[in-house]
Amino acid sequence: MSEQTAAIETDGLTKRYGRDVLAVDDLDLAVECGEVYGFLGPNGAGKTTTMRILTTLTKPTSGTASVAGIPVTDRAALTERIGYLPAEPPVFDELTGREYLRYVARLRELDGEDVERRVEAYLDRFELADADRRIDGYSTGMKKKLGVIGTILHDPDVLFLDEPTSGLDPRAARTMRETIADLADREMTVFLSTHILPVADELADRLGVINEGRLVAEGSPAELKARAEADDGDADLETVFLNVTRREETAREQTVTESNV
Amino acid sequence: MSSEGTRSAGPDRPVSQSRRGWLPSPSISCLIARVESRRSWRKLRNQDLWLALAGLGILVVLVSLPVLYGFGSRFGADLRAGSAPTETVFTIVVGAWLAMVAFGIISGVGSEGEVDNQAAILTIRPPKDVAGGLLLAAVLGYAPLLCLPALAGGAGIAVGVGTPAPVAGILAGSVLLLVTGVTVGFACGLTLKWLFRRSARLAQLKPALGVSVGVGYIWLSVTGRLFSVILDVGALLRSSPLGWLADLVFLTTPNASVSAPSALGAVVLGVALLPVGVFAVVQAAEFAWYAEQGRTASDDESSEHDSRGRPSLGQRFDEALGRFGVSAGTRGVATVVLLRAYRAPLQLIYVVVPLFLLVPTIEATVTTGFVPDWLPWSMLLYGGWVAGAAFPLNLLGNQGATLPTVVTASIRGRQVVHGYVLAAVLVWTPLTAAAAIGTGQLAGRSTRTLLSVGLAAPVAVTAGAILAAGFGTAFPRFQSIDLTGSTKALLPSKTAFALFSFTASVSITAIGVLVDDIYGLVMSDLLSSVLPYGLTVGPGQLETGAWIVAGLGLAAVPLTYRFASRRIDGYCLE
Repeated sequence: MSEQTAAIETDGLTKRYGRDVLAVDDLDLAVECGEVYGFLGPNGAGKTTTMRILTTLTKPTSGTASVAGIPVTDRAALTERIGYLPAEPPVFDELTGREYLRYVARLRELDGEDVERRVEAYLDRFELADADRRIDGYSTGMKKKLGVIGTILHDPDVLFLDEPTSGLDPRAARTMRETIADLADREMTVFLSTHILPVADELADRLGVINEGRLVAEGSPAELKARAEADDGDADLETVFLNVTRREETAREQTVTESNV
Repeated sequence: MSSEGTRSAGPDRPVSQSRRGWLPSPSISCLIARVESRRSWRKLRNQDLWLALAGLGILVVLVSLPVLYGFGSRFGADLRAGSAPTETVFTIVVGAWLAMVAFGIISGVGSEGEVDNQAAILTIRPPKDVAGGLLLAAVLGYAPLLCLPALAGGAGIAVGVGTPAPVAGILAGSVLLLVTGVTVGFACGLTLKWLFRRSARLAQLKPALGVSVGVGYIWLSVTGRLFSVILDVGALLRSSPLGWLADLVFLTTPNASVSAPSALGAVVLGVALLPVGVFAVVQAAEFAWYAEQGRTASDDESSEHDSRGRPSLGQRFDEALGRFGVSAGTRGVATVVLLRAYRAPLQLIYVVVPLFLLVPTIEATVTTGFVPDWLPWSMLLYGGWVAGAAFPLNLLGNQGATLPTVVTASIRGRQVVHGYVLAAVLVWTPLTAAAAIGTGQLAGRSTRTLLSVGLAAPVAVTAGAILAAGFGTAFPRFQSIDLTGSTKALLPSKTAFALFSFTASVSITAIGVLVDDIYGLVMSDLLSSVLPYGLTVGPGQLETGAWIVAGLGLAAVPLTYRFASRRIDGYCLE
């Protein structure tokens, strides 16, 4: 397979729940290998549904999607190449931190001293000295760190992170941002969903803003900010975000008004 | 960031063989089963209630072992004499298979058929491996329940017939019975789980179905009919291929008159169909875990208006209370208490437990047509108890994450207590009065007694709710326990439970003794029969005691009310 294959590609991706709820609407995305792609959007915009489709957890109603060149319909192959960190840290409270990481490693069929070394290195890096304590005594930040380690332990090609820095103290958030940057340096593709705009601004090579299931803006942070500056005179990501999501809402309201008239 | 690098994006990397295919990877399934078993044990260790129930279960199994051994040795001796009731025992084997199916269904539809951290785990392993692991964990979990009694019975039979040969067949047959039964049940349970997920209507019925099945099971157990039902169903299936399992179990038992081809058929069929069963489990698990939730109009209940544009249920209730001059704070508390109970009835499942004490009485009533004189007062006693236990007995703990909001809100403590008591009174007064008067009528009690219990119902319910608020605020509990994988319940603390139950029971009983002469005689007889050293309680002594207890109980009501109100007003988070 050539290096040019997009790490994530969707074509007309649509997800409908029942007859009334259109969660993702004809979404076309192309994320390149090694890219950190920031996926932004207001609550209920379709970010999580998109991420769930890309990680094979939800089937699309129509359209196609592939990750690492593998269609999302091939769950067995695709899940071997990705890591997914949900917003809620996916850890088992009854296990110790180290037991949990060993469990994830075995599930990934990773074994041997190399894995143990990797686990130790990550524990050290994330300053999780209490790895032999049961997870139910961990803080949210510690659980999140453990979740991240479990997600990247197998060195995935594409990493899906849902709000990775929320709930973390400044130091842990900094470690998390450095880790994401480090993973990107190792050519791992990172699909990053976040509400924390400075995180997206700092880390993302490209940003996509989704609103009501549709991609309403896309470009590098610099491009988007330049566009906002041209429109409003403000060159920050928050202005971009508010502008593109508001514009969509205004357009929809106009359409409704016209159709009523 | 540069896209130049060595990491391949295409699907050229070979996929691990364990991820492909239709059946679970044995090594990964074993790993998941091991970790799930460890987690279950650690979870159990931390939950007093479940630990106690598990201990009780183990005790029952242990106590049954010598009984089964004795039964086995008698059966073995009868076999040697050529007069053994083989068909009955064979039918029990089929019944045991049905029990394993039932256990499998319970596991599949319950928390053992659920993946914790589903989003993460299902992006790490294919669902077939996870399903295989959970199935294996369920099989291992039920193994002691079947294999230990089978071994004890087998050892007895071996002693009875004078050769150890029966043990081999019984053990081999039990393993096949366990694995096939739990697998079939697990597949059915997961299919049910899928149906519950897909259909919101069915999901709404789930608690009622669960309670009905549970009550039905306990009813059959208590009335001693469970065994005969199992025998009847087992006898029906004895002539089907399922009956071959019994031939396999007793294949190595001398004089058991089994069919060797049937036993062989059981092995062949079991081994051949097991992969089909596992595949069914995997398919059902995929359906259940990836199912999109069904939605109905009830999903929109949380909005201000229902689908027909009317105000929501909560709002209508709140407005109705407002028309009776109930203050906004009290209304708000009462409405939320009732809405939470309506939307999560399983949280209150523990209040049905005392009703099981009445099972023998109801059984006797149904069979003899005789309703005991004391039954109306028992209904009243339960009504007063449940009014407190269901809502106000963990008033502070039930606030959960909203507790800081409640204690810092402008609403006064007494309004919170009023809200809880109002909710309890509205629900339990009519039910208690109806149950007490109804059973009184059936028992042929006088109009005076019927009137007494009818009037006592609101008093008992209100007093019970207030007492519970007092004990509950004095001894709150903030840690919930797992009912199922996804449902937690916040039970009242043991201290609050014990103090309240004792106070409410003796107070209501004392009032009953004072009001109803017949009930007084019943209690006098009861107390005399349980007191040690031949002590007896005469009607006069009982009445004096009842006056004191009733007086103390009634005096406790305003005191606990005052305590609860002040406790909420001054409550500090620790």
